[in-house]
Parts: sequence; structure tokens; C-alpha cells
Amino acid sequence: MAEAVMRSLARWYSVPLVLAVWELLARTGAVSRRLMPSLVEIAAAAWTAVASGDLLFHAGISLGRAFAGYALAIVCGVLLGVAMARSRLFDALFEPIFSFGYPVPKIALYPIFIFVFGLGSLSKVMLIFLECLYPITVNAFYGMRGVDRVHVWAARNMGASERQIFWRVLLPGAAPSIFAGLRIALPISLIVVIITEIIGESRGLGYYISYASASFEYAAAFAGVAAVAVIGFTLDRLVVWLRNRVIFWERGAAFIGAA
Amino acid sequence: MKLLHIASAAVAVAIAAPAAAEAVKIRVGHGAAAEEQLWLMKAKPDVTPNQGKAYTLDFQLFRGTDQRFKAVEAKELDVFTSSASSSIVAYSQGLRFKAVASISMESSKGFVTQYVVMADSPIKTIAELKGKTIGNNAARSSIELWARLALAKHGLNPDRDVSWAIVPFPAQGQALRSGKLDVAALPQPFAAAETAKGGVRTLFTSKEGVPFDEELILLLVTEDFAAKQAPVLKAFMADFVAATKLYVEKPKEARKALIDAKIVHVPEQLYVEMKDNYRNPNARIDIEALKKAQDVMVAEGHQKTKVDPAAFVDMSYLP
Repeated sequence: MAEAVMRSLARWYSVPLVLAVWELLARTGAVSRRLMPSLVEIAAAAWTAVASGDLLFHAGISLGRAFAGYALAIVCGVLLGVAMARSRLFDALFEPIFSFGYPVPKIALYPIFIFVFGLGSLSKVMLIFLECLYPITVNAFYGMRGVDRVHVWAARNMGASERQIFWRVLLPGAAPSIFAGLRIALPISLIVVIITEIIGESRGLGYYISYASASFEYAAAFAGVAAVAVIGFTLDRLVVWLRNRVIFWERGAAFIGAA
Repeated sequence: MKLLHIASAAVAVAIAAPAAAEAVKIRVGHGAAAEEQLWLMKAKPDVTPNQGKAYTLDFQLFRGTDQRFKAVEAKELDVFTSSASSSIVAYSQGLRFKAVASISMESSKGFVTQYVVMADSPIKTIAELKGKTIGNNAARSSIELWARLALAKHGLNPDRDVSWAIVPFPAQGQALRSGKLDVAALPQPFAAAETAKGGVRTLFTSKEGVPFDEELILLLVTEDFAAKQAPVLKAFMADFVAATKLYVEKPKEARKALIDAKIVHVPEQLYVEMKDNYRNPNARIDIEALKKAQDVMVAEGHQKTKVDPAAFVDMSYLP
């Protein structure tokens, strides 16, 4: 028990350290209290927003949008990555698009998405989908390509069909890389939903943050930012938990915070 | 003789150098609408005799008023523009500044913000906006406040009966024409541009919900700058009023200068001819209008705590 506590402290001590530095800067006046409210003020604003239901209402909307785009990207990204790894035709067709499009900040396409999909949730969901698609596809692709050939040969020698090789050798072999892609894409989905809601929305956490900021209620705006951080951390832990259940033979290996 | 010239030049440089060093750089945060005479100080420095002597100007464009206040908190701005409504709300939230001049007004004496629909839209009255989408430029903006008041006046609940879409002013016309918005909110010069294109009609104006003249954009200064650089601020304000007078008396010349200086990017003919928001030639702030606007904001729930607007208005720097 004591060992587990020490291990947790060793891993997470930087978080209270950053919070302590924040509080120090806020309380000493080194940075304006309005730009950097104290943690007590932020906590009070968060409590008020949670009690009134505002924060949960807006968080629910943002989460719905983020999940929709993220889930769509998982389905399409994994299928596409696998197809590119398994088919030269798909590889030749999509590899240039992914190589060319990866560094493009997709948020710059948001006005086009608004024009095509409207001002509501759909344009945001589709932009989240596009942003998340890249890391998921690329990781699925390299995961499939990175499976040790010896494992495939061994399975083939033991009489495994192509279908069995795919489900029993290739997919489990690529799973660590696929989960890495899912973990990279998860915070991207949250970042994109918040940015798009800040740009133009009247609901969602991004709107809540920009509304509080425009009302000069900076502690409330930071409460919204803190909510995003808590949601992001919780979802990341969920992905790690799921990954450890699915890839039980590689628990904790080369995956930060996986153990 | 040549030596004499060199010596004279050296003396001239020596005299000029301290004079140039005395000019205080004023960091000015500004927005993108209804504050032309401030931009005119950059476009036509010849109407601002104190510029370059008492002060120099460093202009920085900000999209939202709240971002200007953040820059002030970070001590990155000395003088900045703000909507009157945001100024009152900011003061009520504990931010401190001085409002030193009126830049423009939302007044029946000049242009007022138009809320337009497509000419062939079935929407004929405000009451028919139930279930429709209205364009807004930013959260907590004057645009939203005016529309909310107009909706409430006609029996609609602004929170439940309509949807709000935040769209920048330059994109609202296109959003309306493509059916993404049912109502576009258009200040100048966007109203003039969309009217010139045709096919739109005004459903209501900002005066529907606020049927009195009100301050639109104010010129603010940080308390620190006002205290430490009072003579410089007075020189700046004298030039600002001179620029305002030029804008009011010779609007075509002034607007053409803004276009020539590439500060405004709209078709020249349209911009030069358009009806604009009213400017008070002496730049004095209407404190009673601020008080009336505050009453409306408090009643609407736009502002929580009531303050005395006279507490932050200081017109002693005006010539």
C-alpha cells in the first residue's frame, strides 16, 4: 500500500507542483489576478457553475460532439489504415493524401466545413473526425506493417487461413500501435471541439469559456478550462484502462501511464 | 565651408535626437468597426500635429473587446477602444480604466445596426422569428443584446425561441444568402455592402429594443498611463478630436484616406458614400446615455452589478 502511494507520488508530483507555482504567482501578484485567478477563486467559480448545472450542460454538448467525431474517426481510420497496409492499391491511393495533408492545420478548413455542413454541430463533428483520422490511420497503418513476419510465417506453417492470420496475428500485433493512435487522437478531439466552439457557437464548453471571458469573469473561464483538463485526463485514463484490458500481454509496455 | 555644413548637421542631429526621444509611444488597441477617426490618426498624420512630437502611435488590432481588456491587464496597452456596454460591464466586474472620449454612437442621428432577412423570406415580423437562427458576432455583444431586447419586446424568449450563431460580420451576408442564417446582423460597412448587392431587407434595427440614443464605442485609457503621462494624453486627445472633426466635416475625404492607407478594405464608392454611425464632433461622452444603457442591461440580466458610469468617465483630457 505504502509502495503504491509512493509510486503514485513519484508519477504525479509535478501536477501539484504546477498548481503550487500557479497559486504562488496569483497570490503574489506577479501576474495580474484577472489574467491568473487563484485556484480558490477558480474552484469557487467551478462549484457555482456545477451547482447551477451550466458547466455540466455545456460539457455534455462538447463531449457529445467530440465523441461523435472521434468514434467516426476510429471506425474509418482503423479500416483505412488496415486497408492501406494490406492493399497496394489503397496505399497508392491514400498515402500521398496522408503525407501531404498531415501537417496541414485542418482548423483552417473550418469555414469550408461551415459552408458545407452548416453552423451547427455537424461542421464541428466533421472537423474533429478529419483531425482525428490522421493519427489513427497512420498508427493503424504502421502497426499492421510492423507486425513481425516471423509470426505470420509461423501461423501460416501451422495451417492458419488468411482470415485467421488477420484476426489472430496481424490485428493483435498492430493493436498497441492502434491504441497509441487512439490515445493521440483523443485530446485532439477535445482541442478541436473547444476551438470550434470558441470560434462560433452558443453552446458547449468552448462557448462557456468565451462567454465567461467576455463577461470579464476570468475565474469562471478558467473553471471551464479546468473542466476540459479533467475530462481529457479522465478519458485518457479510460483509453489506457481499455488498452490494458485488450492488450493484456503488453500491459504497461512503452505506454506512458499504462501500468 | 564643408566643415561648417558637417558641424551644422551634427548640431541639428544632436538637437533633434532628444526631441524625438521625448515622444512617448502610445500602444493603442482597437477593433474593426465604427472607430474610423482613430484609424484616421494613422492614415492622415498631417491632421495630428502632436504626433511624432509628443507621442507616437503603435496600433494593434483585436477581434474582441475582452481581449483588449486582457492585454491591458498584461500591461501591453495604454489606450484602447471598447463598446460602451462592455466598458460598463467590465467596470462592474472590478476592472479599472478611464473613459476619455466618445468615438461613435448608435443613434437615430446616424446609421443604426440593421438586422436583415432575405427579401423573399417569409419572415415579415419579429414575432415570426420563433425557431429561426440569428447571427451574432461574439458572445455578450451589443449585437446580441439589441436582438434579445427586440425579441423579448415581441413576446419571444431569446434563450429558447431562437438559435444564435456566432459568425464574423464579414461572413454574415454570405451566411444569410446561403441559408445558414435566417437573420444577419449588419453594422457598417457590411450593411451598405449587402444592400448594394440587393436581395435583402431590414427586419428591425438596434433601436427596436433600445429606443434611445446610446454610446457605441468609447476610447479608454489605463489609469496608470493617464496618471503618468497626462500631458501626452492631452496632446493625443487634441489630435483625436481634430481627426474626429475632419471625419465629421469631410467624411468622403477621410474615408478615402482610410482606403488609400489600406486600413479599410471595402469598395471605395460604397464606403465613401455610406451612411455612418453618428460621431460627436467634440468627442464628449453622454453619461446619461450610459446610465440608460446600463438600466437596460441590468433588466435584461446582461449585467449583474449596477455601477455609476460617471465614476469611470473622465473628459478632462479633451481639449
